[in-house]
Amino acid sequence: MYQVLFNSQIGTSPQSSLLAGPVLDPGEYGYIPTTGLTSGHQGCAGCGMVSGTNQVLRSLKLTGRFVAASIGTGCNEVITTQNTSCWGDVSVDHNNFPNTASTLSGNRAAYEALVRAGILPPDSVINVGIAGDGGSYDIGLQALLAWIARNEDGIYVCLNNEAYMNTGIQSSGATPFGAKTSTTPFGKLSHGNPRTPQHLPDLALAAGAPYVAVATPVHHRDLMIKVQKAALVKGPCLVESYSVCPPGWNTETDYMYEITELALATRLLVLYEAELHRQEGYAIYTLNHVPERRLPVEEYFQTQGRFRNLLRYPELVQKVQSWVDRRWEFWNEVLAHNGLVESRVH
Amino acid sequence: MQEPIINELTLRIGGEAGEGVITVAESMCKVAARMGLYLATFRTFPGEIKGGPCMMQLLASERPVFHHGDLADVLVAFNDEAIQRNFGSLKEGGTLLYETDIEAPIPQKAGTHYVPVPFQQIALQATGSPGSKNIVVLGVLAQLYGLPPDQIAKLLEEKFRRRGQAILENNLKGLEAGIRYAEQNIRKPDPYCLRPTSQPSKLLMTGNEAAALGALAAGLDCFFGYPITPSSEIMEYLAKHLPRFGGRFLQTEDEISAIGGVCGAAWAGRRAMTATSGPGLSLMSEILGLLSMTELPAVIVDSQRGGPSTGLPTKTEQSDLLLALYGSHGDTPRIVLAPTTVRETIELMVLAFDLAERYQMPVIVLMDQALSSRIETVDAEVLSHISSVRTPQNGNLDAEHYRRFALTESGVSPRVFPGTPGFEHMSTGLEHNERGDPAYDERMHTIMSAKRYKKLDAVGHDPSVAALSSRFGMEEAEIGIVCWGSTSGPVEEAVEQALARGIPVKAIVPKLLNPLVHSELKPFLRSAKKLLVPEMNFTGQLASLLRSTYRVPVVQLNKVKGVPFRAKEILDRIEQLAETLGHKESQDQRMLESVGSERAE
Repeated sequence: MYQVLFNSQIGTSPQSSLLAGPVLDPGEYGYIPTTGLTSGHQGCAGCGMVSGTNQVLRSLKLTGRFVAASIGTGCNEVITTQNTSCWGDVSVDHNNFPNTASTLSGNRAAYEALVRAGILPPDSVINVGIAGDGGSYDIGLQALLAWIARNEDGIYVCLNNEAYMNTGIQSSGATPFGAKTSTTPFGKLSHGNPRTPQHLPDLALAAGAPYVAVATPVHHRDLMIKVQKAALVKGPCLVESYSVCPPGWNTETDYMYEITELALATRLLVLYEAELHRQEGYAIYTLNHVPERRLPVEEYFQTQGRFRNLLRYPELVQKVQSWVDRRWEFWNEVLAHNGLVESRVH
Repeated sequence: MQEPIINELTLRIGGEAGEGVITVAESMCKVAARMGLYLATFRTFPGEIKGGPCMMQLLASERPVFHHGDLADVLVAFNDEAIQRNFGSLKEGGTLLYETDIEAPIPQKAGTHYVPVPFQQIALQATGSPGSKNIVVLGVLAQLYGLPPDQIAKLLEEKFRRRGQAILENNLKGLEAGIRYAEQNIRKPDPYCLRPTSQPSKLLMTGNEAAALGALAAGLDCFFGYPITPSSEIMEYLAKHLPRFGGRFLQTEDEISAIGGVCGAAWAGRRAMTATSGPGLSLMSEILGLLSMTELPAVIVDSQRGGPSTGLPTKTEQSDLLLALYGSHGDTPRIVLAPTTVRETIELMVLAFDLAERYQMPVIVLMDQALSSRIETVDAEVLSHISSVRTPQNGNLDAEHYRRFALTESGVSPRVFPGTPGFEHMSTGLEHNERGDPAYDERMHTIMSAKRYKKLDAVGHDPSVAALSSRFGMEEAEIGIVCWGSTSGPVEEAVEQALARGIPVKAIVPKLLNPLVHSELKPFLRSAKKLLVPEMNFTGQLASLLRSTYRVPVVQLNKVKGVPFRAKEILDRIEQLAETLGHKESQDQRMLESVGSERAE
């Protein structure tokens, strides 16, 4: 077990004692001189994954290194590789479902061998693994945790849209409690997803990842700094990007910003990062963003068709509210330190 | 107006995904089924998440059909791309209904009836939105091809009632406008017209639904699965319906766990299954071996798609045959069944569970994307004839001398489920003795390997698999065709057409692919001078199985375009073979033909 410490400062900072190079702060709306995904992707309107991948690539290129991506099967792979590839000057190694992280290992080992042979200069390549929640929480979890346990250099980005959208909206290990998917139907015997989602960043931290973070493409500066940090901290780092999925969540397509802000305001989504100082035996958690309003979880559920049935069961909604409240207790200490008094819901 | 004479229609509708192409085709299917007609469909899916070209073809007829038809009588094109992609599939003298607004030049073919219709404009005028043009198409088709408008209106009501009166009314207006336009402006150019039959309405279901339904009929207790195209619908269907029958549905984190779950449930004495596609079956291979070793019953549905690796996830192929037969290390006996139609899928699923339990080994049911996603009419009475034969555990044994893997005449050993006091035993993936204790000396491995294969031999003589193969054509013909799975449909049609042209030909479609039923196949293969094996894979997997098992020369016809065979492709090959039979040929030529594979264009 690691001792859990809090960073008393709230906010996103480009500083860290673990960094091997400087992180560029793009500012809230600053000019970013790099390209991400090029044109021609086939994602749905309002896809949070496309925006996420785009910003991840732009941030990685800010380090000035060549980007080699190992991408798992899933929506993101399908929509960015049909007809023409949208990956521009990024080399892409598309794998099967279970092996994003293990192929990432292979990519890195080969790169290190090339450096040893004097063919490539050191610190010239970033190896990034990009997969969805199905490929990270479920079938790829074994490879992902083993990659972290081997303490290899690289960054893993999980684009979490909370179900298997590519194959027709089946539930995954990241699907929220009570959400309707095609394998967690609503009826007399089943009330949507009966499981609570796992929490991948915490799993990764427990496995020994030196840096983990939760980000959203809606908070650009926060995501870009986190991705650069993950790329520049030595060791296996993980960033999870919250990805709104209009067809899978049954929402309007122009609602990504509002839904994300509601997720934050209801505390269902928390933007945070954690650094693990393995030798010293402690982890430091930093809360990056606290919306001023605090809202009941219903406000979030009401925006999405996948929760329509859940809303008919107030006791189940209350259950989720109490889980959220309990988890939020975790951050109260930091809030108190900053003189912030949380107004309770209800 | 010309008097309609043919109560049969092959209709192809093409457009952009999201334009409502599938809604039109499915609505037509439902109405035709309610009219008591038989039908089968084929649809393509775009590989993309959203958008991309999509197409659905349906054959509706008063005679039983087991295939989606060859060239289309009527092609409906929503856009320019749909014409470009599908014009080649329109029969000579067929009808092309297309959107007037298309600016690109329309391909010309003599004899084709060109019927431009301003679908979009009609929709705009009638409903105020061009988005409901698919309903206008439905109206036009209903008027031209005899679908009762009141039936379609009823269908729309069922479909849109829950979405509000305004939406429903808009759709009904679109339908009405389409019907009116066709009535006033289109002279019916062809003789096809669907008419109600005297038969009761039929059930409509996809191959995937049939697989799930068959499993429920067989008394499925536990389902374990992981999403994969094109088999996910089986899982989704069972997620909804299995709990209602007291069963347990579990979605696992990958395919290895799915079959692991099946293994555990089977050990505990329950009927369990999983459904997957090629990539999933590859992952399951190791535990398939465990099931053979521990002699546990399990049913695995593999809905094949284009491979290898991620391959062509939304396209069809028959390239998992050898994986299904042999995929796992060591000698691993298992039963392989391959249904050819949706109706048969129900029956073979029940048989799969019965055989798995009777012979205590895994059964793989090989479907493919075309069969999984095809909609077919099924007579409701089929469901009332289904019966499953459970093999009970052996309860009246002497516990003291119980041996789980006792050597018996048939090879099948007495099974007593865990939890029965006095019958505790070990189930292990290690080679074991009759009691189940690990024992891997040379003698034991030889004896037990033989025991496990003895069961597989017995399957071939089981009364329930006798006469499982279907046969078409003339018994005494010199040209013989062997095929499997959904290729059966086009083969049946090709055989019919060849006979009509005076070419004697016969075909056999084995449904049990492991073990092969020698008593049926041997005489067939020996009596044919030319053997043709059409299959949707590159290397000719059934062909190589036939060559190695029966040492017969075989002519291959392979297609890996991601779409099923057309009867014409098979017919052409039959005609070529008939020509060569006219000449005396040397042994060398026959040998050459058997080695070289010929691939269909």
